[in-house]
Amino acid sequence: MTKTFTPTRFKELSNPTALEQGNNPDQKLYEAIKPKLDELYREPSEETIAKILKYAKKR
Amino acid sequence: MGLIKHTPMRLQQASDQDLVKLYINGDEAVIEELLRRHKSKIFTSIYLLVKDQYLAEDIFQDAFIKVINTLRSGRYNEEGKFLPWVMRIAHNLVIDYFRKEKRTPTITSSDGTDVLNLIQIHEESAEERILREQTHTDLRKMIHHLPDEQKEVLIMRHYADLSFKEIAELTDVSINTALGRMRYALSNLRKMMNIKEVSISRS
Repeated sequence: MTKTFTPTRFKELSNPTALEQGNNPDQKLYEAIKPKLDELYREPSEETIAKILKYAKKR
Repeated sequence: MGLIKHTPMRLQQASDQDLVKLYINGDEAVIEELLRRHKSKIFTSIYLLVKDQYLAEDIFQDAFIKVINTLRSGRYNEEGKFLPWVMRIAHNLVIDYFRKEKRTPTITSSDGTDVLNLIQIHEESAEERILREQTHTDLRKMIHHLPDEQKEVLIMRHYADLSFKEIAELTDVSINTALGRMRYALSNLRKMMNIKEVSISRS
């Protein structure tokens, strides 16, 4: 039987959103790890935000 | 322009680009909405790169001051790409910091108090809290253990929510290289989680 070459992998790699939408193993791994990564989100202090807003309002 | 009536509801529906136009046209209050939308993504990305809460605060502030100055001076021309643009500014400030310090990111500094620890949906026991804090510390260390280029892509993709195209442009590599680095980052993280016995699924 003749083997044919199907460049599926290349197409996946070329697609900028491959990790974002496909059913590939990378996507599954990302989905599995994502909740743990999400736990690390944090925010700047209110003080820092206040300083930026004060600066933004000065013209 | 006059496309958006200035109410909080309208502002929330406006695109980043519309808000930027409003700011350029003199509506200073819209910067608050831009901050509300993106502060967590940008700040977490900076924090995970510099590993220091106070330094991250400084860099975050400097980045937004640069943003404001650029918008005021009329030099902003990144049509519809506000977040990648701010991330580029923040990223450059982080690089400047490490250059000035003449050191590269390493896994030496200890982590400060986790702000996230203050936000809890349910009351947890002391044991649960310690376990969660340890998991966060372990996970941060794992991220810092990644090679710099993998860590960078992971942070930009996951925390800053940039597309691979935007990451490729920002880091001056091809999209395929950015994708490959993300793959290696995830694979390495999984390996480290297995070694550390950190459960991937939420406990």
